[in-house]
Amino acid sequence: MDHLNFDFLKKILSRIITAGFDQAEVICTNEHMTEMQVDFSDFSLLRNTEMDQITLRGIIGGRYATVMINQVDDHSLQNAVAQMLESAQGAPIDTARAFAPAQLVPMNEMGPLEPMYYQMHERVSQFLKAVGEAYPECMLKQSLLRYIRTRTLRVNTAGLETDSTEGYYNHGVRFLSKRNGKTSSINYSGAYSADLETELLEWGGLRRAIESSSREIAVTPFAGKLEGPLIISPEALSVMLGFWVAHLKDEKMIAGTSRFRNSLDKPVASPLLTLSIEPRSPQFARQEFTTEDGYGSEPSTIIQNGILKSFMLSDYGSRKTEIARAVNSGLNWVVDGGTKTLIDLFGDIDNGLLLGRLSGGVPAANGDFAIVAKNSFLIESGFISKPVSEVIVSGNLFQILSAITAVSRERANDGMSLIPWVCVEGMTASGR
Amino acid sequence: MLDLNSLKAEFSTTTGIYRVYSEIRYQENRKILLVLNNGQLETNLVDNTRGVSSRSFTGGYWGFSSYSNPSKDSAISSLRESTRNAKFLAGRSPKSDATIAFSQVGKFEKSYASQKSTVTTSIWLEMLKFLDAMIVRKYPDLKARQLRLQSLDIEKHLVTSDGQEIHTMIPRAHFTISMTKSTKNGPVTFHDTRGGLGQLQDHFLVLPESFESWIDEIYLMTTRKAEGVFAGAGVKDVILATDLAAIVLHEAVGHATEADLVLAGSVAADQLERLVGSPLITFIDYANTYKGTPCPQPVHVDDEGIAAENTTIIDSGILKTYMNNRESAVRFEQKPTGHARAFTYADEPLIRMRNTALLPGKSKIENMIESIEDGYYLMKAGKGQADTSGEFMFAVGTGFEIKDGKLGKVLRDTSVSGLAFDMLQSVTMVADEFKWDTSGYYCTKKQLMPVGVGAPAIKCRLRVGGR
Repeated sequence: MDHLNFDFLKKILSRIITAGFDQAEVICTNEHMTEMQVDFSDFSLLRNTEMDQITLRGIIGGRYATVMINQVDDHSLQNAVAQMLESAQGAPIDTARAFAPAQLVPMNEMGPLEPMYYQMHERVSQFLKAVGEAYPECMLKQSLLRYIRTRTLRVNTAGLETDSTEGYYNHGVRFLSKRNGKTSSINYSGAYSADLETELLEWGGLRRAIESSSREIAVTPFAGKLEGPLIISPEALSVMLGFWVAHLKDEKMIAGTSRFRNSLDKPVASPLLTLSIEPRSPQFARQEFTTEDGYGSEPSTIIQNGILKSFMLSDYGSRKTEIARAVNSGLNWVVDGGTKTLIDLFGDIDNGLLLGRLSGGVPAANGDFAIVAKNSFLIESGFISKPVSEVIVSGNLFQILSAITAVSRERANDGMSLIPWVCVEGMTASGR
Repeated sequence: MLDLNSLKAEFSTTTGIYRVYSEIRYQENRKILLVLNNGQLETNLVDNTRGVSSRSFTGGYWGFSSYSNPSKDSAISSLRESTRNAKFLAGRSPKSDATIAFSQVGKFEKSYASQKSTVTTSIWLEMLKFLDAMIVRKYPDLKARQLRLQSLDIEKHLVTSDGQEIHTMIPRAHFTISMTKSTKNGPVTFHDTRGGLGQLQDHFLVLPESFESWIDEIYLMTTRKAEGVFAGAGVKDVILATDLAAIVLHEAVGHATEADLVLAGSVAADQLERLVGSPLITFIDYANTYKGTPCPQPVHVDDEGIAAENTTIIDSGILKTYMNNRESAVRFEQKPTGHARAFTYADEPLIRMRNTALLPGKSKIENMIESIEDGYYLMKAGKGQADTSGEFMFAVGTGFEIKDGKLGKVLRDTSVSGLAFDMLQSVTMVADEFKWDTSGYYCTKKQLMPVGVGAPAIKCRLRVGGR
């Protein structure tokens, strides 16, 4: 890792300028990963990887190009600069291309800087034992505990220099439950943590998901049609919000296909919905020190009580659309909790559906979608009742977020997001 | 270039109390991605990634280690670390009876590199700009357009401690054009992709004007889709066009028969030699050649050094075998046929499909359409999911109504869902024309992986999503 220093990056920058570029930027990333893999409730693989990536960006006469390599020898760098020059020469002139200006971004370092092999093994062993004892019907298909450390350095011709290091753990599990030859639907759970202080079973929504899995064994195909209220789990809401915010980002905004191009400070969702980004909040395992463009990351509010307050544009997207750039790159989502407890949220529903997980494709360009509801239950007389399969939920993405009628006080934190359960009206669930 | 043969002396088959199997792989992935969005060059990227990795097996556990720097020292370090990692796990709970299948390929070399000279990126950019200008000139009513040109060359060198020396280079290249029109119900998008095995110059080094008819077809379908109707929801008789049938079969049926997922309790567990589909269904994962022609993603030797052979998964409706790696083959007492593949140098080989294909039947597509009173002809697979229970859901980009045996109005976006083996059982007609999908499909299973998928059109019963 001798190349992870500003002097080395500046030498590459100088090489790019010597080749004829007017402006340039070099980003060097080194990632170390250690992964302990369990297959079918038994350790199977211990893997560590060391990965470098050097990103060269240049602008010549308004023409832009990017080359990415993972080698730092002189020959590779020389080829990369030549390749970038050749690519840029064929590019159309685009005056919106530029690099972030010089600014004071302090060196940042956060989280563990080395993996704790023995503690990782101990935590996974403890997890396997705990699941075996508390949930004997649970079949762990795969568990991946990863330690990841990433260091990123950036320099550009505007004088920007940033250096940040982030270390964290990530645990992802796939599982189902089985009893007397009958199985539940498969489920997944993943969460992030800055340390290994807590038992893996308590990370994010893992325990809740495994408990739910054992209740799903008695699953039956859903018959008929349901037009009652729907409670969306934090995990499913996170996926829906992901589809929704794509309309605030560069691709759709620049192309003019965004639903919300002219909706700033206008209602775009239910007044009960407030979505913020908190890139540096200590309540999360991950931290975003700088945006993808190199600006220091700051918190932002995307939707406040249903009103669109900011877009999620890059610096380039900002110049193309003449709308302010986002002050972060979107790590760590917070959806405000509501006033109702989960018990009350369910208690108000006579006949509805709890949507545990979404399976299927992305919504069409106009927001219409039909997805399979997985790990889902009927809600009857205020209580979660029968697990159901083969349920199709259809609706429109934009209408759903406008149709939120209640938000739970409780929220789920997976180390990168803090999201409640919400109740929506106006969706149709259909079965066989 | 790292000489892997010089590293053979570093292999140690016995280390202390453990017997160790190891492999060392040097791999380079070379990617080009050019995206022109409404005339603006959104992405102009060349990404060359290479490195060395090692994987070792001992005491029933695997260890893996990789480095970006492909030097001899890094290779030796990765070998030592992968062995150490396997021993770390084995030292805590050894599995004395665990073993893996061995290989006898020896030396093998195969490259699908283009015989034509490399074309510079700037030439491709000029082509994209020319075609974009053509679209704007001919079709000014479009709300948005995107041209996406991409290639990926994967070159691998592998040596294993049981004596295999493998070198392969498999490239693929694809070109996608996407068009969007505004309608009173919101924007409508249609896209199409061409390409396949080979490098950019093998597929697209032609006069730009020759793309005009293809552009016209995409515009026509975009327009028809914009004027289209929504499919009605419910279980229907449907014809899945070749691309949709190929992808649904890969995801819903193929994955369920990968041995690692079978061990995890997939729907195919305990179904060997049982009827899982209509007798019209014969489903094969081709290694590298179909009817004398290279498949879209040819694999001759896999990343464990196992010779790749065709795997007949379902023969006339009966499940015949699973897809294995060295380890699962021993467990299931089946022959390994070369399914272990890794996407980058930093990835461990996983059980993957290569080129899944449903064999063609005898039905004519026009007769299949005529046989449906009220149903749909569905095409253009979008994103979707299938889990190992066999339940699947896929977005469908477009299609046609079928009324009284005739194609009707064009459909807007819809979806299909069902259970894999139920769908196979419901197949009553299989078309006589087979096609490989040209969309450049990537399969996701811990890692990305380029795969080939192919099928004829099939008639079956599925649930269609809708309003």
